[in-house]
Amino acid sequence: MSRTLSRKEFLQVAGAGVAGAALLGAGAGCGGSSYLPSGGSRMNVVVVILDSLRRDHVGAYGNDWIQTPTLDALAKDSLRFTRPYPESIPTIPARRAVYTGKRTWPFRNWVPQKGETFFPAGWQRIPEDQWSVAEILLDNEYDTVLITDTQHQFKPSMNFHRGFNVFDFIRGQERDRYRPKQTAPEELVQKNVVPGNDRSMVEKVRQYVANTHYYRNREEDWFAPQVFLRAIKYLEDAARAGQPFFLVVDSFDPHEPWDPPEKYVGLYGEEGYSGPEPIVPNYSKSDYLEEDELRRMRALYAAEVTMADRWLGNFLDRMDALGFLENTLLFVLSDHGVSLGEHGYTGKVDEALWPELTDIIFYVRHPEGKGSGNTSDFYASIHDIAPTILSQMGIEPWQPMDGQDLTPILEGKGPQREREHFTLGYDDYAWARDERYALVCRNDGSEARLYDLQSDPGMDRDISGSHPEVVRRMWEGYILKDAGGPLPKY
Amino acid sequence: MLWALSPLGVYLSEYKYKTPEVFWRLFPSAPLLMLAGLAGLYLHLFARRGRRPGALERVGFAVCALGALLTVAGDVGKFYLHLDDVYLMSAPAYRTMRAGLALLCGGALLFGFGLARERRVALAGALPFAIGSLAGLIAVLRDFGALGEAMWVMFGAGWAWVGIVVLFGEGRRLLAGRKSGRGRLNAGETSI
Repeated sequence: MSRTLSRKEFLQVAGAGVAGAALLGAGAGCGGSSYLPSGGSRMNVVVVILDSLRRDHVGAYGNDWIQTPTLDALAKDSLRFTRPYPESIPTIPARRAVYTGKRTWPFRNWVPQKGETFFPAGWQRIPEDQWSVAEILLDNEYDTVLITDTQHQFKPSMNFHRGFNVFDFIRGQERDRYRPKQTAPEELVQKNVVPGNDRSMVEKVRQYVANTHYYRNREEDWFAPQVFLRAIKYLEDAARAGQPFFLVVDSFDPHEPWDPPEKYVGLYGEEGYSGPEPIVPNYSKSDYLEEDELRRMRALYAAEVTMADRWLGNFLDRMDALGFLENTLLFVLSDHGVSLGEHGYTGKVDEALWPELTDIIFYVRHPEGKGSGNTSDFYASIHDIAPTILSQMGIEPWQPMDGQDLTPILEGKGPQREREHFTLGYDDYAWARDERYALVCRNDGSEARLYDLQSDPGMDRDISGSHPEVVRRMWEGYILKDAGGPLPKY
Repeated sequence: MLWALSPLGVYLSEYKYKTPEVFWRLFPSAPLLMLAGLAGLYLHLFARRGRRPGALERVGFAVCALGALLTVAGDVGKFYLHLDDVYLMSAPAYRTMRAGLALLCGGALLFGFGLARERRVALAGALPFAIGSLAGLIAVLRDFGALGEAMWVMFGAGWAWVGIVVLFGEGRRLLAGRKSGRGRLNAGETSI
């Protein structure tokens, strides 16, 4: 018998073997997981949100009088975006974008929810047909944890804790219905409102005082410290229990009410101020405030920023001590700013889409030092967080996302897709900007205001009357295009 | 055969336990049995018969054995000791296991081609073993979906096949030896 195999016979044997095994393999592998073991490099993920932190109130972003040493130091260790914007305002529409990676604006199919006290368009829970990044990470064996005092997220109709193994709601902020309002000492309520505060804001203060007056003795009793201390506790538990984890530390501070401990107020407040404390702004024009009251309000806000920054620093120090900075992808951002009289408004008014309201901070710190100390003027946004997290973890999204993976920028390359312009929305108003101009208008294109950002970065001079063609171009080419058609009216 | 049935095992583990991890905890038995089989084949072909293995066979066997051990070590490290939950970014257990899988298949490829070249085993056994090893090596380098599953199965099937061929060949030789030995046993030898 011949001991050799001819080429033809070899090919026949090999081909039959491949065909047979293919049939067997196709039958054996019935979809689902890979035939290979899954694993590889993973990172923990921490997302820190500081509600209402204005970009112009951080040293690393150019403010030369405010004290934000943590954020300044973090800038040297992170990729810092110089022109980030939220894709929608305010708090809840922004959180939807953070968790789903999808744009909430232009707020189509908005359904006002029961149990709510605030009704801007888009203010609703994560829709049932959208997935939260927490759910995806949970499915991939991450421990998912949400620690927050942002009480809007735990109102009766909300579901932002979907996908979290652990959700720690710290009660009592702002209007959280934590304690009976009537238990608030009236003199304390009156001490913390100004004569011009409207009834709604007085009631806000009343609820807040009822929630907090009876237990505050030391700085740790304030909300930002509570949030970050609970987050530190989680880190210490995680160090023992194992990883990886997805931790969201969502601090409502420096959102109003602005009542930080005296040592912070002393950094910015005028000596000898003896008037009532304007701890909450009306969401209106600012003419209800006296000049000294407005200055006081700005000092209180700055003081709360410094306090939040300090406790963020304590949290990051603990992360470092536990070794988590070596293996954790960290995002630090805000969701919007707040007006403090710069253009005649206070609070968050939908038509007041000026830099004090629209400009946010956005840092990404990679444990391997990618992008460390660099800046990018890409229009990064809050809906980029989820796709970036999933890309870094090597996890496929469960649904198409509107946001972009920021990894290429972290690695010093160009973005996945250029953003020549950016658009955002707040209730019935839309905003758009490119390198030269910013446009603000109603959802039907009326009441347009145009600003030349090169000569007027503060957006103080409306030039829409003399540049109608630019208004039209931005309305049609940016706002209508990004919205996918006419904007809804509610 | 256990190896060849792995994709089915992953599926059953997901179906019953909602995680493939149960399967991967049981998986070490497959490379260990393969290693035992390979060692047995090596001993049978060379130690018993007093032949010297060629360079391909020696290197292939050593690499294959190392690969099997690394695969088992990585599996134990990942699914029993959960080392990768501590060393998140370096993921040592997972990387050890993937390296082991590649070495197991690569070593088997070298060994198989050595067997085929030197005709240690019938070509009908050695070649499918070598080709299956090549398919396995491709399959473990990255996830090729259903095609990768088929190639993974080929690796296990080739291993089982060479074992069957060797056993069959030995069986035939023994039978042939008995038949011819009845007449010729001690023929020409002076009884003591």
